Amino acid sequence: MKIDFTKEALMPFLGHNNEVSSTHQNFTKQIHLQASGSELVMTTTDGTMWLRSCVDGITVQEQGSVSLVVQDLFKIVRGLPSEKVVSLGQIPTEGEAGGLTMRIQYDSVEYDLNGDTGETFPGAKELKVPVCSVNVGELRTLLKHTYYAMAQKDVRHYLNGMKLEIAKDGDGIVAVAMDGHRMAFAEIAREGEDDDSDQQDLHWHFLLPSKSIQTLMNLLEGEDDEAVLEIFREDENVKDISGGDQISMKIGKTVLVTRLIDADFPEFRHIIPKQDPEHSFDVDNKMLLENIQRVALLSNTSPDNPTSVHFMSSSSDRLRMICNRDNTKEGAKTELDITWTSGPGELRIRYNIQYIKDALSAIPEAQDVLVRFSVFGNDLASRLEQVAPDPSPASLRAFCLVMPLRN
Amino acid sequence: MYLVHGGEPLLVQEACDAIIQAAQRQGVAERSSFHSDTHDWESLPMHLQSQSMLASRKLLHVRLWPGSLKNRAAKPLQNLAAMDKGADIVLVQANDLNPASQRTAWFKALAGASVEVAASAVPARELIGWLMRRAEAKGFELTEAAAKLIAARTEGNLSASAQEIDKIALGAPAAPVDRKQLHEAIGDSTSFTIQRMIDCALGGNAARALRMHWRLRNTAASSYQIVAMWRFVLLPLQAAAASPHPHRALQSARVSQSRIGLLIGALERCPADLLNAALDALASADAQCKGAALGDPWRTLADICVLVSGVKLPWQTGAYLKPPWHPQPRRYS
Repeated sequence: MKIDFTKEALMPFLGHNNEVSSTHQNFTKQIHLQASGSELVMTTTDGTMWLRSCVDGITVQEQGSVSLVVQDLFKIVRGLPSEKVVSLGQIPTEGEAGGLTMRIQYDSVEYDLNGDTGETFPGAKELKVPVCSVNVGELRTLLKHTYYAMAQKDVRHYLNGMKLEIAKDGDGIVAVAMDGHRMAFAEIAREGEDDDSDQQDLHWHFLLPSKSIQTLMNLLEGEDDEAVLEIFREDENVKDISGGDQISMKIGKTVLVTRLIDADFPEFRHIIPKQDPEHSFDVDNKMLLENIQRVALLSNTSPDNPTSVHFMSSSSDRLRMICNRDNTKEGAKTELDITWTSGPGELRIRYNIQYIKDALSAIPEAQDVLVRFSVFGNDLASRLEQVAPDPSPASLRAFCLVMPLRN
Repeated sequence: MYLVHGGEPLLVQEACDAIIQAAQRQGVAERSSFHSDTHDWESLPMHLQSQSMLASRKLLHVRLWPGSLKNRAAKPLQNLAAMDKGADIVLVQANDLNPASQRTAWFKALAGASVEVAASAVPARELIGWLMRRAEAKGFELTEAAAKLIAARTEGNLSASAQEIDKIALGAPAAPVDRKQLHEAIGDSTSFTIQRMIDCALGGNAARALRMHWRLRNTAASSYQIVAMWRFVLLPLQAAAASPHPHRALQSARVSQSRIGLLIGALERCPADLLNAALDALASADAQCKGAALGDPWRTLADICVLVSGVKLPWQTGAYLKPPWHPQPRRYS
């Protein structure tokens, strides 16, 4: 195999491939390159998902395939001078059957990498049956509003991922993630669809693992808002897609094949409070976030070692936030202006500070963003959502539910 | 709230598992754990106070690891005992608490506020009964002789015994299991250190020392390590035997204070001719493991175990000729 390429042609794809690979197994460290016609197909896997990208804008001198260590290739290509045409080709070696050496060469620089012919590299299944397609800009918005609430390494494995519900008639998408103490919900609905649609048959359901979501977010980052993501599955005959199956997602010339989590996601619609809140107030998002970060300075806020923040108010239009170190008199407090929208009165409630920070950080940064904080009691989840300016796109409905701490 | 502690890891673990399973049957769906060695003590109350969206009750599993129970632990643990837990269950698991920690204020506070389960080691005289009851619970019968064999093979290690019983239960035997069937079924899973073997010989228990010696041969120990360890013991012993003040001689040979009593006891048991024979055997074994003399170093080292225990070897009583595995080391000129 022999190709000529530039850093610009390979780099964006190679970065995504590098993130998919893992060090568990020999083949998960490798990238499989196949040159044919006028394009190069690059594949990496971590054993549960595959990322396959077609790169054009390169010159194939000699067809063939090879497997190389992805991290080495990534480091070399990242360090190349821009717009320089570089050649990658096999050089004749003696001895060792099965192995081969590839040389990357430009000017007077040469890198030699050991690899193999790539015959044993486990390729992804070809999934050909189309399921549905999603607007990239919308999906990106939904993921940004929800990804932070996915659990990491929870024993309830169905929480280590994100649930996507895509209406079969293309009328809306819902993304939900939760870790048992908080839930992030985002929905784009068209045609005034009613919220309580328990009509499961009208939707495709996907429960995607958190690593697939992270990779998908990286892929979507560089794409045009109007682009379309197509979802494929393996078998026409199966009525619905369930866990354990694989799906493939295609954006442009990149295909991500991933397994789904084989479990039922909790009934999240039952958790969303329907009643009117006991208290609710509007507050400037940036001010609230800054104040929370200020009071949290003295406490250690790693996810494993959480700290709490007290929200307190009397009926005045001031919210007091207090963050104490346990068992000591050390701590910090601050106050900021709020506007009551319902039930002004005595408020005393306590949250995990990290959860509030995550929820506020997920709201896109802009001038004068108002968030509404709705409290439903000390043993029900409180709701945080953006109220002004109107969310974009206009059909977006996103909020985060956070369980308060018991007093 | 439950407090499970004790020196027997198997029993502590099984007690905790039973509590967790009972809680799950009562509909406690959520479980979180706090490890005293990785988590910050300050976050302990938060672990209890955080509420779940998916379950109304939860179980907090607090695991106290020895070595992480410094002064900083006292106050959070006392607070934990005093805190309002609502409908939640707190399970405190402490393996290997030393007696000093059991006299502390936090331990008393925890024990006072909870159901305390002390899983102490099973005494040797009750071990046979324990093994037989455990076999019964697994659905088969174990004869007393068979239980004794398991106890001997596992040296009273409960985890190893439980594993052996589980292994037998896999075969689902219909008739009572006796010693003869067991002999083939279970392996020798004891493990010893060289130090324990030497101490045993110095204590005068030749049979047990020999058993440990041959067991060491089957594990990863090398004969040269054993030669080196014996040298550390026999040379001070020789010096002490030659000195009018054995105690002082051992001190000046830098034997640690705690072991001097053991060595003095061995000197009384082991007269000069046995000690000299042991030193000869050590020289032979040293040469044998270096390949400078013929013979098996393990057999020569076994003789040392016997001699140091104060027992004469057969050839010393004149019953047999000196065995061929004691050639004199070749002298290099």
